[in-house]
Amino acid sequence: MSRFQFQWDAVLQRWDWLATGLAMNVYISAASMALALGLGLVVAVLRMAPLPLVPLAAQLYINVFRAIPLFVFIIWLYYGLPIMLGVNFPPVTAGIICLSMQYAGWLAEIYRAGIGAIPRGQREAALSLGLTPLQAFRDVVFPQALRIIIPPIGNNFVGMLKDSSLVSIIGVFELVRQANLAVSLTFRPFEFYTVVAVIFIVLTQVLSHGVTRLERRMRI
Amino acid sequence: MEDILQVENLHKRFGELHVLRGVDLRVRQGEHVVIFGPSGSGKSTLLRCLNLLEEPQQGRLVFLGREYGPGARGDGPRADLRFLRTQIGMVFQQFNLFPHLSVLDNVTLALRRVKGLSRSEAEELALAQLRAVGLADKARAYPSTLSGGQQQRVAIARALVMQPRLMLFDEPTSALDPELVGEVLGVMERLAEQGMTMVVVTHEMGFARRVGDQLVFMDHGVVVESGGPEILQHPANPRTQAFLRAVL
Repeated sequence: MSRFQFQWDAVLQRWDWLATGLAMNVYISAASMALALGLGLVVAVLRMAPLPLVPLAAQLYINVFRAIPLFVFIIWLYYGLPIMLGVNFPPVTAGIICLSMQYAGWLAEIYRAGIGAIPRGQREAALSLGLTPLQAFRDVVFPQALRIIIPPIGNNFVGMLKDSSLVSIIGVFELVRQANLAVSLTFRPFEFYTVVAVIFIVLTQVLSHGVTRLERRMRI
Repeated sequence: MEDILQVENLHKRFGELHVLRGVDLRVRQGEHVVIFGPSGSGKSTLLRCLNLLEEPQQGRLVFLGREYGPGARGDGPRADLRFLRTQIGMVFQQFNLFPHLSVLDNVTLALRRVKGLSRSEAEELALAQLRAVGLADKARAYPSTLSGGQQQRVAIARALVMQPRLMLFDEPTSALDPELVGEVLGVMERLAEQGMTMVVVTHEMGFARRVGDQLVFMDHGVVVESGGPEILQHPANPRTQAFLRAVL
């Protein structure tokens, strides 16, 4: 039996590294989620638009950006675009673009399912009262769909928090990278990675709790 | 009496299915038209064509002097469609109240969004209308807490508050428990007495006899027979006779 001794003071001495890393994860996730929520809704609406070709293009977006491994996408956008097009993004911006574009694909499908779950009669009742199709969507269909899709959106946010660690590959100093760095100086990997795991567990718990409360408040 | 609505040679297809095969209908000011017939005969589709929830492929619709027809929904002026929809109220079989809004907000939504009234103006009108259907005390309630009959009365108030010239009722009592049918028919009969022009699709033949001025029997997408309440006693067409024997 090995007798491993945790030495937590290594972590305590560098807690500020982890804190700044964590702040970066939260910032990237929040920004990406906000963008993905907007972009996903646009893609979902285009996917359902009664127009030729537009839904096909939206479906293509969903199929492509959901399929690309995030790792590949980040590398490709950060290193590939400057070579091909001369477009340079700072690492954090590149990370946010990749995360929000990928998650917009997932969210578009969630939106579509939620909107599709609202009975046709709701829209028809709104139209029969003289509301425009846009008003019928904004005032009647979407608020009901939102109630259905809050839990799956919450799940996606949890996934996003974890995926935000991947931006470390292009040099963003987020939590996991900060921990790596600390490990290379202190040779205490288990302490740091345990703390990282605990931080993510707590973060996920807080988020789930928030989603549950939001769900309860919006229940019809 | 002045014609409010004229329908000429209306055709509606859903893919291969030819649901309306040339329907003519005239609705005069203050008239109560009752449409009856077996399920699948096209009654509901006809009603939904009248406010263009369904777009007919062929035929002509003249409402208060404005013409609507195939293509009018897509490339006709949008304001005209809005005119049609605000001047024609519709009550659905499944009520279709907005479950995320209170009863009061259900009734005020179109007043605010379509007529541009302020919240307080809209609420005043809505409360008066809810009082008229006996549900002012439920203004703050949500639809899910109401009985089917109460929900349908709210739906009627929601349509009436827009002060439409014509009311369409699509089997308004078919989804109700039998003991709740009376309260909804009662509201409709009062409305008829007040002179509202109505087109009602229903299986309630008692209501048809009491309220109907023009009774229209439809089968297989055409009007088979129409006339005054006397056609219930003495139907001329064998198909009408067979249907009435089965339901009465």
